[in-house]
Amino acid sequence: MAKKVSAPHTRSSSQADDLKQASFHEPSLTSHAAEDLSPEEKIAALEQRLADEIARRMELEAKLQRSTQEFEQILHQRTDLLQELIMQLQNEISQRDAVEAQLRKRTDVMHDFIKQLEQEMEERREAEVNLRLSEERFRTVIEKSPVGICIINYDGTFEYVNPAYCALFGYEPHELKKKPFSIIFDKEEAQSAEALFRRIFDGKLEMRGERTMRTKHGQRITVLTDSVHSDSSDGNEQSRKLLVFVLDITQRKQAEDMLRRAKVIIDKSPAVIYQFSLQPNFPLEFVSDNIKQFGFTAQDFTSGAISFLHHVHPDDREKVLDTFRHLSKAKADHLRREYRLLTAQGRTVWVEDNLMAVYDEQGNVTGYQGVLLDIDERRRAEEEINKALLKEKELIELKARFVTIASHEFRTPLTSILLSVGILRDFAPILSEEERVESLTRISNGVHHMTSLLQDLLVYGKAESGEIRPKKLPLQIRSWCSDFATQAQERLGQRHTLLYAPPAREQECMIDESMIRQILEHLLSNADKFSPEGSPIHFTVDVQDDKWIMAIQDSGIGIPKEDLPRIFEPFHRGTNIGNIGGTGMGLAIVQKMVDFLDGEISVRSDVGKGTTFTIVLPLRTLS
Amino acid sequence: MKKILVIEDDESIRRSVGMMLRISGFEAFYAENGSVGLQMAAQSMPDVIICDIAMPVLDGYGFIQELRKNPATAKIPVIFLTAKAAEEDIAKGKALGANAYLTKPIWPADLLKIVQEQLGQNA
Repeated sequence: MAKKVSAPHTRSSSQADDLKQASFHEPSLTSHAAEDLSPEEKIAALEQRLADEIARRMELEAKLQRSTQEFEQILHQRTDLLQELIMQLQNEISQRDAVEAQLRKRTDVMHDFIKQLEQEMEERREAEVNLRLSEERFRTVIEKSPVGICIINYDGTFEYVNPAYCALFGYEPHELKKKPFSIIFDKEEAQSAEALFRRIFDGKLEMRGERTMRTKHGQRITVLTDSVHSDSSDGNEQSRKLLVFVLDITQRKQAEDMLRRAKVIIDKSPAVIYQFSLQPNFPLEFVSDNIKQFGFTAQDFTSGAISFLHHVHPDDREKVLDTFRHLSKAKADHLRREYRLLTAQGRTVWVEDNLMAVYDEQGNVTGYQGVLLDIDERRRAEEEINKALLKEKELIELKARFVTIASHEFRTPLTSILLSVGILRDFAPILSEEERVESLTRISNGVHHMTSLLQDLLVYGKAESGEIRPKKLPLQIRSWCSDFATQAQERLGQRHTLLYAPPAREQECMIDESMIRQILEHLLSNADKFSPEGSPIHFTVDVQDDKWIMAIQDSGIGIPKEDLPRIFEPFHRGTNIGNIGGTGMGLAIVQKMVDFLDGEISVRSDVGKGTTFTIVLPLRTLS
Repeated sequence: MKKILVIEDDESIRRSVGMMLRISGFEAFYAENGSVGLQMAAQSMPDVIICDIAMPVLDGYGFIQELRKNPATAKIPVIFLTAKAAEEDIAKGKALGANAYLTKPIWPADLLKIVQEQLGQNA
């Protein structure tokens, strides 16, 4: 292209040279005219010269015009050519731009690729480092693992054992290397262990679960095993390995065994163990299964379905809640309570609760463990004992009172005797015969009274202590009563007439005859003593279906109302009896005898009119 | 002759004490319970009263309380002669103003000695 445009440039330069030549002639003409010719000549010459010059110039101008035209033509041509070239050039440039863009794009892709490659290489490097680290870690883990790990070859020999495995079985690594796996089994089991191992290797059995194995020193240990198959890298079946994990659970098994035994002991023991935390409402965290003795399940309480406090007897609930609150605040180590529990069936049971604090690792009390013991029988026995003691105490008091009264009753005749003896001794010379006899009579009466009192006391004492045993013998009621009435009339003599009303029919029964006799004799004696002479005494007997009824009725002084409630007490005597003798024991003995015969005695009395005692004996128990 | 009132529900003792007093030169009066005893004390103004405690109608404790309330009889010496031998009974008797407390049974000579002591003090 540079060569093509150089030609017009060259031509253009020569035309410019022509123009420069023309302008060079003009200054030389002007200097000749001034020196040789006249002014006119000079002017004419100049004019000539000018005309020549004009003509030359015109010629030059025409030349120039032509040149210009040529130049313009060439210029046009060149311009067209140049335009064409420019267009070509532009096309080329566009093409080049396109190529360049494509190139740049490709370069970018290339850059990205390189970058990615670099990144991948970096990642791979990192992965390699990680793999190395991981391998180291893995090795460390295996080496430091508390779990015994071994790799077993297809032929059943050890390929690798980690320290924990060696420690577990008491071997050094070299002692196991390439040794048969069955070494850790008992000799008797070794064969079956090999068969077992083959089955595991062949994938027919999983080596997972608890097994008993043997250490180097022959100690049997319980282990938990698991295994993983490792495929061969070369595809050879016999290059396969088995990775076995072994965890010593001997202690855990022993602990479990102890726990199981403890649970059996707890479940079979009567003591229920429970634990609650010091959270609001004191939720139960544990309850032993033997809570079923109260009709509940442990879950009833631990799930919160049933409130423990709700099953404490309402009268004791506040007390128990107070205990829990107190423990919550005071954090006491131990507390013992007795309260009543309501079973699931609603039965009330006395329990003893021994509460002991439960501590966390920092020594803070987090809850309490209670040991509940059914003490219902003990409590009831205690209540019975207390009742018995109370009864015993009452009995002792009664006996003390009895002794006091008895002593009082003995002091009276003794006083009479002692006074009379004293008078006879100290005043004998001045005593009249009448006074002497009176004194001796009082002594005699006093002794007689004391003898009667002793007799009655002996009978009552025997009855009271249960020493009397009824001797039941067959007795014909009507005939016996008839005989008794006859004998009684003989004793009453002329003082009273006994009006006997016999039963309508004869009836046989089994009874202690002496007891019936004592009852009737005491009642008749009272009727005799407290009725005016000549007044009749009624003895009425009736036999009904299941009862034997007897009544003794007199027309005597009667018993004052205030005395009626006490007439059967020992030594109690009516306030209206005056000097009528007696020990005050008669009716007390009667009451005892009636009680022995399971009968009843009642009294109806009007002061000044008389008294009726009625005895009802059950025939059913007598027959 | 000094007058002695004997208040006793047991006739035998009443008569024995009476006999002993008569033989010893005293005039004896008798009452079978505290209520009768109060009337007799007011009527005959005895020099000494021998009184039982456990008696019907009005016992010895009730008797001495009433006796001491009456200015006329308040100063009469009272000897309790009783079978109540417990310490609390003795303390109660003395607290109510008994001049002597004797427990049954008793020898006549001992009773007589106490009666004479009371008469001496009273005189």
